[in-house]
Amino acid sequence: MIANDTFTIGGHVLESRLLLGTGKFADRDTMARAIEASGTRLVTVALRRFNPNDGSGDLLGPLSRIPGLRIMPNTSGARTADEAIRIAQIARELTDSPFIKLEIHPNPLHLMPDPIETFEAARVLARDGFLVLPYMPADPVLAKRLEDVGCAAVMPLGSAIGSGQGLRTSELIRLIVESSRIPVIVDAGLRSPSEAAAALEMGCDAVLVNSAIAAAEQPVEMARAFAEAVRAGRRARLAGLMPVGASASPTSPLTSFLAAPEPG
Amino acid sequence: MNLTVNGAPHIHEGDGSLVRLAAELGISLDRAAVVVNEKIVPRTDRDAFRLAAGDKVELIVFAAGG
Repeated sequence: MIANDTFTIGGHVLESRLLLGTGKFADRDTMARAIEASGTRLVTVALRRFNPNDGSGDLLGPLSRIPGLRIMPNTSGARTADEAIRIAQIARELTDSPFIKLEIHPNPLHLMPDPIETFEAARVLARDGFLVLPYMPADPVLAKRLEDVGCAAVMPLGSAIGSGQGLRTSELIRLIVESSRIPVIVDAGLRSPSEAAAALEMGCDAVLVNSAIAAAEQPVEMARAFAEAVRAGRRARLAGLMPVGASASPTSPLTSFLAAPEPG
Repeated sequence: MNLTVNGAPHIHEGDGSLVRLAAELGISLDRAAVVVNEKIVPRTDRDAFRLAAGDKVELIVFAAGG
């Protein structure tokens, strides 16, 4: 059943549960090879002013050569709902993609998402036809509110962006998964493939990874490792994990044939 | 024509069309969003659009990001 395992965001079927960010790669070639190795079908990109001196207009080139890849612009740099809405509207001029990764983090020290501005922007953008995927604190109440205003998925953070601290919010994410009717995608903080597998095992629909791959010693190999981990985690979820027991339960018979024979 | 492009002064030698401006800057308009005086110029309006002296132009492209 894993072979045809897909998931859907706002009616769009994605063949991979691994989403990739395109930041922090040493060069464009490594980025493109890591994307291909990961098997992802959805990558995030940022918006910047064109600078003729840094080739910043060329990102669409390498991305467009990867078959079946969709683009999800992000609103990074936005500190308010109004700024995020503005960035999303500009992004729509650059791509036909309906996806927008809504991220509003006013404080560069910790990059924690602003829940109030995020909620307000999500409401406006969803009404305006965007498929909104908000980067958000791992808060089950906010997740429900974002679902209610029409977000296509929610993306709770595992830990601070780029920190590699892993899945620190797992109990809260578990609560979000339990009550969510839209896909739950862990975004930010993951470092190792085992954390991605853990997210899928607990019922998350996908993970979004950037630094863990881009800042690995061998990004292309790490992209493969994450792809395998995501598949393993999803397969385990579908297989159904055994219940946690209160104490030991033997896996071998405890017959005492080595016991000393009865006298006589 | 004196313009401000992405925050820097730019002397535009053409007819004020966005295609000419993009050519001056070495970018394909297919890969840029255009904002003039804080208003987005939709793709459908680009051909007919003409810049005026003093306009503030932003050319926005996709860049790497997570």
